[in-house]
Amino acid sequence: MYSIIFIVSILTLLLTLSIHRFLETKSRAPGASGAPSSGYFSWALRRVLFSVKRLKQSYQKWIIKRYKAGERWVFICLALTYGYLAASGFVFSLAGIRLQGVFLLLHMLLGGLFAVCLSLAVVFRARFYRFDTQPSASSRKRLSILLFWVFMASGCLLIATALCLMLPIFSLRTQLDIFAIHRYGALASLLSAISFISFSRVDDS
Amino acid sequence: MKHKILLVGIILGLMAAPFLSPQAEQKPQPWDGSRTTAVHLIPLKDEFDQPIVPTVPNPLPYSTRYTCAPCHDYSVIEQGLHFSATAASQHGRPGEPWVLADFQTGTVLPLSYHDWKGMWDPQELGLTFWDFTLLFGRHMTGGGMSEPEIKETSPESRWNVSGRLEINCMGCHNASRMQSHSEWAKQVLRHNFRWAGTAASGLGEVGGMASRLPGTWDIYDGPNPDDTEWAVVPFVKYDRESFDSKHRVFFDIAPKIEDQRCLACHSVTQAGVKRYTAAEDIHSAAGIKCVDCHRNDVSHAMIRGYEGEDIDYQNSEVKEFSCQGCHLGRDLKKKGRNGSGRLGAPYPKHAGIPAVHFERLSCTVCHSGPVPAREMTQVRTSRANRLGIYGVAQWSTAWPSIVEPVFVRERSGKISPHRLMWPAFWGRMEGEKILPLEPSLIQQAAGYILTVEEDVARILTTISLYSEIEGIPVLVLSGKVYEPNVDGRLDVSSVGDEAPSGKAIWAVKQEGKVSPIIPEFDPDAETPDPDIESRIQMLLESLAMVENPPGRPALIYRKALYQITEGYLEKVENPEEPAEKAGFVWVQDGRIIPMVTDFQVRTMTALVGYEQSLTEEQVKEVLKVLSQIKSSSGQSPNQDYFYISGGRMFRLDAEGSLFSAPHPAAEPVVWPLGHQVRPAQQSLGANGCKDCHSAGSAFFFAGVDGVGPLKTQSVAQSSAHAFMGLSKPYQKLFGLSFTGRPAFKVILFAAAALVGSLILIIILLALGKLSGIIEKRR
Repeated sequence: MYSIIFIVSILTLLLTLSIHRFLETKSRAPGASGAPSSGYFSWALRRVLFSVKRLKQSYQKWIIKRYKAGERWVFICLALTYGYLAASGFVFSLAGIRLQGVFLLLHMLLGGLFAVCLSLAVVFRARFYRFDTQPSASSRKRLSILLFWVFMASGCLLIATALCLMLPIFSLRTQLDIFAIHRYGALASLLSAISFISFSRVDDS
Repeated sequence: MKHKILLVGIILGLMAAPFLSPQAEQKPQPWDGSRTTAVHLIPLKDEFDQPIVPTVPNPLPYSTRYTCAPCHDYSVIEQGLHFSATAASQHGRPGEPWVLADFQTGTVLPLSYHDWKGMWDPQELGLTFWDFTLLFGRHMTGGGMSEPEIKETSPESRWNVSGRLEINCMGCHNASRMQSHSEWAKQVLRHNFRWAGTAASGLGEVGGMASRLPGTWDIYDGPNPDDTEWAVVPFVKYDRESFDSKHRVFFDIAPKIEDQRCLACHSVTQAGVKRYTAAEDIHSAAGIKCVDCHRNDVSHAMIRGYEGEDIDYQNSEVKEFSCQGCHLGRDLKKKGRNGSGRLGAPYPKHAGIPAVHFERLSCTVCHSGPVPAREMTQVRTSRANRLGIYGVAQWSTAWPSIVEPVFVRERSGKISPHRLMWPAFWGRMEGEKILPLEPSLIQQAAGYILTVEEDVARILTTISLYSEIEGIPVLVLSGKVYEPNVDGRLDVSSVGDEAPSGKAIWAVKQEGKVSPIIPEFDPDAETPDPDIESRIQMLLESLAMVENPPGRPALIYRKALYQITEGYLEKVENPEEPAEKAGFVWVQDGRIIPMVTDFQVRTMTALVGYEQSLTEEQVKEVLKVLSQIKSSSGQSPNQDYFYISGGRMFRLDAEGSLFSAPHPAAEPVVWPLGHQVRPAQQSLGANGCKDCHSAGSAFFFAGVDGVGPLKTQSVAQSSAHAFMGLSKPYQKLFGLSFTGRPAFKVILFAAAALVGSLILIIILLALGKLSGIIEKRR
């Protein structure tokens, strides 16, 4: 059931975001040179190839320009740990195998690092994502603020549930429920992370 | 007309005959719903289905087949778990093997008619049903292979003398304290098979021994009036008080079988503990009987109670009687919301134990058997170590050495605790095929090599019996005293402050003091001491009584040799080197043979007082003898003899030296354990994760070293994790990670608290703005 929800929700989100982007790009420069005059799929393919090609530029734009030198490592660590946690967690989950062995050990250890990085990230970035100080922000900006906090909240949920699973307090029945929350929290986190990247990237300054 | 009536009568009679036989009288009797147990005041029947009248001369023992038959279908019962090992189509989870243990040859061979890994089929070893019943009937229930049909009997068997060993119904069902397992074992060992049930139930007194009767004797022959001393035909004297006027007997049938009955064959106790300190199963302590879980109907298909039994035996009902069935209930998805299982057994919370444990471990891992320690716990079991047979003689044995708990991954993929034993046996290898050899064959081939202790004990016992020596004759060797015991072997004790010496000194032990058997004297004295000479003569005369002596007994001391010639003590010159101490020798054709050879000295010193029964030197010598048999019998050159002990296979190399190597046949045999169940507070994990997950965890890293009857340094060495199929470095690392767990939890808590607080602030700020509170203040 979880696998189905996961696949459907991820695919739906990716499709929605890409179509939205496709339509937006098309409407923004309908006659310009290089504008997508062809169909959605060829545009999507080009975008993917383009993104891969400009990975270094994206890194410059996203990390180097965006964050101070002292803060930079926090976000790199956050991204890397999150990447591993999501990959290990979801791959095993989709394969119907319980996370085990070295993967589990790393999942736990990097989970701790992720918790630390997330805390620092929220300390460093929270002031930029306040609802109350940006009354005139665009709806896209407001959405990205919301997504930032959804990501933080789901991250907080993930940390809390991981902690609960380690405490000798909860019965097996409760643990199974907590574990389900952890998995759905992870899905929410991933969805919010993708959406946040998609929306904040456009307006990034 | 009369003829016609007669003819019709005969035909009707013939048609009705099958229905009049005892087996055909039985009809399936569904339970009427009453929870009471019938009063079993019933007539006894013998094996010819004739009623037993205790007052008639020479009554036969009662037969369960016919006594119980009118109400209980024997043919159905004998298909039950306890009786059908040879015929079972479904073997289920491995159980405890029967262990053929022979101390002298160092044989510890696990046997089973079930197709279980590592256990040998008795038939492969050449053991017939007769042999098997004689070996293990002491702890068997009767029936099945012990009650073979004519076509199943082997030529050398003596079933016609002993009778069949019928199912011992009362062995389990009797509530009377008169039911004696020891009596059962005694009668089986006397070959009194058909009398065993009667004797064990206490209904009558059984005398005589079928084992002493000629093989031609038959039950129809009756008693032998000419021999009332030795070959006495077994007889039964019924307790007439037990019979009523209609010759009926009251069987005190237990509504629920008493645990004591089960424990006669299923006791398992830690070796070396005092009775009052022995652990008890928590369920038993709570008053639950064995049969409350291990149930059966008339089919006697006992519920074994393990996970997966429902699949093995294709019976979903048995699921309810497993650990999960009772404690979690049938519908596991309800996770205890439906209360719990049978009789409201406590639903376990398992607080803080990750769910993965329940997927990969059976309940017994944490709850059964002794708590894992660095050293495995040695246990003794009824069937393997011959427990629970009482009498003056000591029946129980130290071998086989069974240890627990060894955690092994089962067929289902789950890990469960097991008992483990290392096989030890002599065998022949034909190419890749391994053929164990019967101990009797080895004894025959090895001769004196394996009878060192017995041979020395026999000499000492002979001196004791046939001389008028005061005290117990002993042998002093390397600072230790070796004296004969009632088992025909030797006991060893320390000699005190005497310095160890490699020479054997013949001595006598009296009131705890050891002195030379012949006091110090001067053999060169001109006037010999008459007391000394008469003592020497007495001892030499007694030594002449030793069974199959290799020569004439003599005493050598310095340059003198004393021997008996035509009834007189004769002193001649010692043809060998002068002896420093007085010692006995055999004189064979003028040749001096030590009465205790250097080989015997080495073997005794190495083995007496130790658990082991073989030295490497003995193994080497026996293998040499076997290889000579091989070459003389012209067996194919790719045949090779070996001995297995302690997890390694010992063979001779081309130079005739002994070497050892691992071999699949030397691997340990394991079978799951279910009991003793410990209370939740004493289960693994009750004290936290570190009960198992630590760098030096006994659960994962306890040593499992090979043990066997061979005294050697060359044994298999393994660690607990290997039996689970787990990686040692990973488990070490994982265990180590628990050292930092408390700090890790603090970090997670701090992170969650920080992120959560900021989210809360943002929400509050947003709410403040939404409600206008923040704007107003500004």
